[in-house]
Formats: sequence, structure tokens, C-alpha cells
Amino acid sequence: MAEVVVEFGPSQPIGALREAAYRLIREASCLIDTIGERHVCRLIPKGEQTAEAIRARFLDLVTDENLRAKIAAETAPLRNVIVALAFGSLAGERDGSG
Amino acid sequence: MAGFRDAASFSLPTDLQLLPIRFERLTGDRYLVNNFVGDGLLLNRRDLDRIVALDLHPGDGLYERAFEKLLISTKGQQSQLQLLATRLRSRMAFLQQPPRSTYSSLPFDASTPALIAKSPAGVWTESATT
Repeated sequence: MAEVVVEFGPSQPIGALREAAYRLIREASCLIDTIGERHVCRLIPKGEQTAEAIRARFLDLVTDENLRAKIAAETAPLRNVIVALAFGSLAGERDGSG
Repeated sequence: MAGFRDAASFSLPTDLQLLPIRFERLTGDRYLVNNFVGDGLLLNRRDLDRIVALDLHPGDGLYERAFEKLLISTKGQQSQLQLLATRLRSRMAFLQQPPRSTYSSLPFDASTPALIAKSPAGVWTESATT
């Protein structure tokens, strides 16, 4: 089956593309080239899915990854507070006993 | 004599913040959304986007579900963070006291040719296994 080419502009972080490529690994292999400021993803289908289905699935995965990155960035300070509340006292106990 | 406060004084807080969450797409438009300690909620994409955008209002159903599952909290509210921290600490308690089976499965027995031991002088040496 012919490869599917999907291009992204410079505003798309390449980390999300790599993660999406990994999640798509059962359905297609993905080669990511960075040409200038563009990221070009070449998807080589492995099964019977149509090119359009592979493209749509890849774009969905990239969208999900972008949302995960946004959530992680927005909630990082709270995540640090929760971890500090959970384990900060352990560090104090360790320092006190050692 | 003090009177009753006006109704606005008893309105539910709307100054929300998103708590750390994870999500996975299931089949179709269904998402499994988890809070920081793994409690899950099945949502469609529209509801997930509403939670992330904090487009929630008391009484709309999703607000209550997101609050109950610790996906959102009110800014400045410490109790939600304390609860997540307590549960996180409980879940990770095994790191402080590993189960004994971990030790019993270590591959040190009579067939092990040598162990590395530290001598009283502080020099690392090889010592035979007894």
C-alpha cells in the first residue's frame, strides 16, 4: 500500500509526533523528517486500513498528544505540590534520622 | 440584629483549576480520564474538552462528576490537594517497606561465586560466599 504523507508546520512540537508515531505502530510505521521548519511524517500502512483512515487516526493521536502536553504544562505546579505534600515529610524524617 | 446574607453569598465557587489528569482514547468517541491517583471516568471528547477548558458550571452534572473524581478543584482549596497527596502516599507505601518476597527472590545463594564486600578499612574487596 502507498505511503501516506502528513506535513506539520513549525508550531507543532516534534515530541507529540514521535509519541503519536509510537502509538500508531500496530497500524503503520512512521518516518519523521524535519525539513527546514516543517515536519514531514511518512506513514507506511501495515494492514488493510485505507490511507484516509491511517491519516485520520494519526491526526487524532497527534491531537491527543498535544492536549496531554497542554494539560501537563498547566498542571505541573499542582502536581509538584501534591508530590511535596505526599513525600516531603519523608525527606524530613530521613534527614532527621540520618 | 444581624440579618440573612443575600443569595449571592451562598453561590457555589466558580473559580476553578484543573488538577493533574491523564486520559486515553478508547473506541470511537469514548475517553478514559484518570485523576492523579488513577480513579477513572468515562467521557466523550466534548466533555473532556469542557473539563480541560474549565467550561463547567455548578448543577450541570459534569461539574459534580469532575469535582467528585478530583479532576478539578477550586483555586486556593487545599483539601483536594491534601486528599490526593494522602492517597498517593498510601499507594506508594510499598516503596518504604518492600515485601519480603522481593528479598527471597534475589539470586544470592551457595552457587554465587563471590560477593563484593567492604572491608573495615573501607576498601572494596571480593569475598567468597559461605
